[in-house]
Amino acid sequence: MSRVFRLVRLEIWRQLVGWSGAWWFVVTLVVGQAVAPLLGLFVWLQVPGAGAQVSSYYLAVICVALMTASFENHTFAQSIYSGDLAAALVRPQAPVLGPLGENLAIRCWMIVLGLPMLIVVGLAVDVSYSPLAILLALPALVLAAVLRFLFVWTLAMAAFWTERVHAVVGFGGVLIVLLGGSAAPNAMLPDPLRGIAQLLPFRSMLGFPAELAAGTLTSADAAAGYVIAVLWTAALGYAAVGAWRLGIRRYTTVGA
Amino acid sequence: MMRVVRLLGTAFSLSLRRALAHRANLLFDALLALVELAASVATIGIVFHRTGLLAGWSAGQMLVLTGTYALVTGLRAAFLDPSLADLSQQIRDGRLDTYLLRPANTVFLATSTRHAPLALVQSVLGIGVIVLGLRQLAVVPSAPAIAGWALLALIGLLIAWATSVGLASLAFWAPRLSLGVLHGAAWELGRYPVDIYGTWLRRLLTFAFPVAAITTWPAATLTRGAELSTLLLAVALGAAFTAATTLLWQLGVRRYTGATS
Repeated sequence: MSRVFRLVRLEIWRQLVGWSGAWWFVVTLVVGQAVAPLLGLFVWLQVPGAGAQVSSYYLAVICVALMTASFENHTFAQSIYSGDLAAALVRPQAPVLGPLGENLAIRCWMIVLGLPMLIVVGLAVDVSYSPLAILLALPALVLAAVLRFLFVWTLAMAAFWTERVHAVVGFGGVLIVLLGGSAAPNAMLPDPLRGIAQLLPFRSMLGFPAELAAGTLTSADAAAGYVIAVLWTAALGYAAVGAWRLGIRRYTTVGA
Repeated sequence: MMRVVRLLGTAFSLSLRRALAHRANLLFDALLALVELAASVATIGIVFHRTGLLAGWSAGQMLVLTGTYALVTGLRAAFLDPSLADLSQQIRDGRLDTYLLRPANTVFLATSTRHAPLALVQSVLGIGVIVLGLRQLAVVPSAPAIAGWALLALIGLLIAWATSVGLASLAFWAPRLSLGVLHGAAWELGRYPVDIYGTWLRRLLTFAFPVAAITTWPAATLTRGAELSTLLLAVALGAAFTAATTLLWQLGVRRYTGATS
């Protein structure tokens, strides 16, 4: 296990250095991730009865979006199309470590370069967080980061079968925006959409940690949210392994 | 002018035949456009479940705005984005030479001759949403309102071209600068009327990056009637942005020295 951690650490470091020259591009990624929750913030600030915590919630959503952003449809799927995945297959390590390391390195740069924007938004709107709520949200944030990676990586494996991987991942992105808490906080959804959104994995990828950080959930809702997030992490983990096993059988290096 | 239209028609015809050779891709693109638009409409439904008006806009008016946004975005994606996506890169690596040597308007060739016809699915769906919005409002727009809306949507497309080309032209001076994603993010702000934004942002979105001219004004014109002042301001903005971009392009081309630019 320590070997795996060392390899991941090494891959993160390698990718951090590799991406350091592309800081301007990372800024554009930050803006791209923040624009949907920012739009949500502007909209719900105009809606009477959205609650005093709506600003705190959306600032937290922007933080979660930056810390969980995944671009495997660009990075990993591209290695399938170009045949570069073959190099990862012959290395004496799990092929997921490469995409995972790159994913974490990009997230690190996004957090660093997104910090000024977070400060500006935080100063522009009325936000408040309690330290206890933030502590309670941290495990949910870790689960969201794992879930989002598993979700996007699994969808990116559609590249084994189709050229339209961006459309497939784009479809997943739409669901995250609509049901995950970016278009509207879960509490603002009408019934029965709210109940359905609570059971699906998208809220656990984005809105759930933000709801915890903003302190808008009861203890029972928080516990239920954690149970759902853990169950979906296991389910998507199995789905990712299954998709990998099926996809790799089809893979024929260049021309897959 | 007729030559430009013929060139545009030929380029579109070639792109359409190439696109129709891949039917599965058509299905994917159509499905994604449908899902994205359905999500936008659902978001409007969610918001108006909680309020009757959003910054003075009713649900029906918002549907017209969303449909207009989809229409203009689809036109942009079909006729402009394929050429503009790697324009900075072409300036950087010298591929712009190809266009400079051809006997036609360079800026037109470099920015508008590659097309993605399948993206027009989004525009067709957008028209459907506009009709849905008008039905909900129980409004039959007058002929001047429809003409004003069409003119404003075209000006919106012109501004999209001008701002994209203007930003890409900066690559003549700063080859590593790539602002395409920022342009895309600013474009997203057109999903809602500019009235929801604060004063300063609203001014920016009216004069600096006129998102207002792309969706807010056309939708307001179609649902509330044409206003001469709005039309004149939009025409002035469209002309100013086009002139500024043309000037920037000409200055940039003068600096351009081929692959080593």
